[in-house]
Amino acid sequence: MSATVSAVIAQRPAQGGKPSITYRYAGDRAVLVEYGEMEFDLTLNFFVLAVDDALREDRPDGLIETAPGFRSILVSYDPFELELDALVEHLHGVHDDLQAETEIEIPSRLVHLPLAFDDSQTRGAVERYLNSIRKDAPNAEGGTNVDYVVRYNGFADREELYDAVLATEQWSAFIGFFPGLPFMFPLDPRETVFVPKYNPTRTWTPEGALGIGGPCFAIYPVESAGGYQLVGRTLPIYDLRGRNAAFRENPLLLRAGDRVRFHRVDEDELLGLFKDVHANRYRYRIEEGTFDVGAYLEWLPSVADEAEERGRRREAAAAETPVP
Amino acid sequence: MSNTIKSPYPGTFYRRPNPKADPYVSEGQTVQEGDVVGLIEIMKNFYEVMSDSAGVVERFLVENEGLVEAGQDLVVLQDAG
Amino acid sequence: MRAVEILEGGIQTTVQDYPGRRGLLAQGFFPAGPMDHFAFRAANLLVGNDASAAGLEVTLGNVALRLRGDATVAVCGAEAPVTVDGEELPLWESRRLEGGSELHIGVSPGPGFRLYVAFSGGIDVPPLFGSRATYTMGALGGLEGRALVQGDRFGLLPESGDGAGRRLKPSARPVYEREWEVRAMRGPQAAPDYLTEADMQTFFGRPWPVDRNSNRTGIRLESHKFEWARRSGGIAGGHPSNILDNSYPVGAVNVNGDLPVILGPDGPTAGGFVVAATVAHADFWKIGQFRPVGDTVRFREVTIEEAIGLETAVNEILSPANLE
Repeated sequence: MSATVSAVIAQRPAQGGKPSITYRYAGDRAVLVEYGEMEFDLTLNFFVLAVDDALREDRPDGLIETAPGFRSILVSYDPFELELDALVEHLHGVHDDLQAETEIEIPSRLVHLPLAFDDSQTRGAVERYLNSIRKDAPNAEGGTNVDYVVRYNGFADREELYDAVLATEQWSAFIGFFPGLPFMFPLDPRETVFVPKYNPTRTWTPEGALGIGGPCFAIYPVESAGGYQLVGRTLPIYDLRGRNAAFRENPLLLRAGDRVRFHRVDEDELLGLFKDVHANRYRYRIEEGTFDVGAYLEWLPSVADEAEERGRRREAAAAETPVP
Repeated sequence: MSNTIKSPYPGTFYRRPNPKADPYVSEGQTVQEGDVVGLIEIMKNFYEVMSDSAGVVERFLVENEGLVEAGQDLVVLQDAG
Repeated sequence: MRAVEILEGGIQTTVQDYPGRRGLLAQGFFPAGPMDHFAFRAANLLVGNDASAAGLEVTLGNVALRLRGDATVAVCGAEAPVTVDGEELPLWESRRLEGGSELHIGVSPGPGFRLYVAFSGGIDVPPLFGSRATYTMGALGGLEGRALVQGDRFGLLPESGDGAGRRLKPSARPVYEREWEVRAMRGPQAAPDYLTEADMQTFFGRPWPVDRNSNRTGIRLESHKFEWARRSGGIAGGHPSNILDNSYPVGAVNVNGDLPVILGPDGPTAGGFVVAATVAHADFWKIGQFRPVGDTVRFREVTIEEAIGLETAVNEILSPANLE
């Protein structure tokens, strides 16, 4: 095979307030479209979701499905119905027609969820890990991950971590890895929390656990293995049995573009609410809306300094904290 | 006269029921038909390997945690009589 | 009503359909479906079913079942001792069986690792999101989301077709190996930006052993220290295999740290590790026949044109013209 074979199909530079675009082969039935650079830039995800929306509105025959990622979208197609060249042309058109980032508005729901910090179920998962997988894990000392997250980020105490989690809306950038599992990022950059993942991973996590891995927050939809540091637990976000009205039409509560806002409850209250969910007595609070990217981008500079300062504090603390 | 106990499945052969326990059988031990002499792990399930005759365990042909094919000889048995 | 009773469930026997559960990648569902789609489709063809009809995937063997009502049945896949009421039933052939018949599939000595059983009309279990495929990672679909056990029973849908027995021409039957060659396209994350060209030559040049812990979720290969084009994953993490999370294509060869894993039909839909190459769909069936005790696989690089040519050839083989 010639060394000039490339995984890249085409590239477009950044222009008109839109990021650069790289089209890559993902086998013979899919194309991975990446936006911008490998940077932790949430605005790239806004563009991804706007493209996803546009492809939903105008879907050529042979385009089977799309799957957003943090800064990319995987487009699956049937090469016998739609040739690659035609697909790429169509994507060029979608990108050209899209507004500049500052003009983008994304359909976005606000989902309110209760959160109990450092609850006994997540503690149980950490204890189990210490006993059966790795008893010297620095991120699991004392049978909890919370103190490790506090230390790694240079927070003064647990309350400061909890305040950070509660203070911002969490942006669901995409759903993946597992059915219904949201990958979320704080919209307020001042409330960024960063922490390494487990090494090796856990074999069990309780349903509804809230974990942090890298800069990302995730809610576990079912009991499963996992590698994120556990900080607490929220309500079910996935129910195939549809025990609550929220899951009747779709067993998955969350979708890309949702904003999740946590409010604090204690463990007893959470467990009571869990029962209410299963008995269909609980009504999830979900507000339809849109997310105005332009307004967000205008607001960002006003908090940039504080975000940067906290980032420096975090980096200094991380340098002194062992990685699992 | 000797014969062999063969693996029923491909997979990983274990001589003990779990890492902390004693082996099911040792060399020189007498086994009856149906006695468990080891486990095969495949697709995360464990299956017992049972002797299909009575005899004395002469030697093991595969080490603990060895990878085996279906039908592979695991244990050499000497007839009890 | 025609039905099937399971007398012996075997190692891992699941209900599958082709092409599995599509359209839900963005919700975190990989398609599931038969790991060897070729043998599955051949079995359906032989009994007069649509390719999409649900059938059984049998891992290794040791399965017994009894028919309630008449059906045309075919078994395709790895060579194994297969009998009906004690009489040999050759693979790649369909036969009309009477109600009360007992089908036994012994342990396959290899080469190959899976067999597929098709029943005229197809298996009747409730579809989930339009598919009867069992997604083992999510414990959903098929029969209660799990492998079949003794005592399980399911119905068969009404037959179409003439019920006559046929066989797939020997020239159309696949050859199973112990040392496999699988064709793949490089990317999405290949040379020069993620791996070096020397890495790509190594990847496509060496034989990779199939690890004993391989399953429907993925075929684990062997840890290998690539040179890598980057020293780290940057913002995405410390290892150069780390990227900002994106969705994975079916057939992805995911490099998890130092370990390449071919994602199977029940794999994770997204993650933060590079995909160095993607298996051509026409060859993807082969991974369903890798025996996880000593088999090896070599990847041979192809272009998209070659991959589509291979797919066309496979579709032509699986047509009524090759039945006799």
